[in-house]
Amino acid sequence: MSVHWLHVSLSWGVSLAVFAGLAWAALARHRAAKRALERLS
Amino acid sequence: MDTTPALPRAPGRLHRFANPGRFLRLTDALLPWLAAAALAVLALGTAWALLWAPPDWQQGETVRIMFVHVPMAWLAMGGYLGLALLSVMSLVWRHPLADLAARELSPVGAAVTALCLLTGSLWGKPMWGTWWVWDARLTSVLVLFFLWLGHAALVRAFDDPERGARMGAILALVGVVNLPVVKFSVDWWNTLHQPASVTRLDAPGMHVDMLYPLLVCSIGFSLAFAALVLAGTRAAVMERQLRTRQMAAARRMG
Repeated sequence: MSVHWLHVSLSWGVSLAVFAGLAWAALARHRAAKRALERLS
Repeated sequence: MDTTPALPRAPGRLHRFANPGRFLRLTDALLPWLAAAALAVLALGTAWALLWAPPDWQQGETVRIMFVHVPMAWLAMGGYLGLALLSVMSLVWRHPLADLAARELSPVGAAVTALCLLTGSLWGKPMWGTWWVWDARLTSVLVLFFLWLGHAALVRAFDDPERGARMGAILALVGVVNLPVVKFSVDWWNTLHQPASVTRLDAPGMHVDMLYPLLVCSIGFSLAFAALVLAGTRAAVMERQLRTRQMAAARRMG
């Protein structure tokens, strides 16, 4: 794999990983809040 | 006699969404569709950008970084414009959802701006022979990144969330002056960064074989950005409801 493809893979890999991480964090936070609200009611 | 200063009335449509229950019901229906659309468009855009788009005659395969770098740059600037609008809503109408949305927007905005800088650097090294230069475009985007980080830190720095939201809104509005600097830096100064090739007043200076996948990637990342901010705001509304109920329960028991 050429250096050019390494840079392309890093750019796409890191960007998609960051978006996936943010989505996972938002989902986990949402589920935790929902569970806590259900427990209280 | 009521001495509370009268606030300007928010436009009717905006005021309707200030109701947390209505916002939660609306986003409960909207968010799965938004997330599914983001996933589908992003999958198509990623495949188009990495597999089907032709290599550039000068840059070769490295041009594929453009399909992620340019959407991040647009989102960094467009998102900041959104932050400024939310700040106006927060300062003028004291819209509670605007405060929460702004609070949730800034970490995502900081992330896309960081990705814009990172992917730009990864593109710059093979094309320019350097990871970084202190030219006007790169420096103004770095300032934009610090503005996002500053807002995210400032709104969380006060014990009183309303005071934090007001301070953050003022910072966001002051920072708007940086947006035209980012956009026109390549025209106003002699920069290593190339001038605009898509958002020009005349026709885009890019072949459709590259323009179409770029637009698809931009739509996909924008939908994902919107879904993330909406999911964060939704979680923040639920956490606020939770705190209110916990305090009410504690008062009843005490």
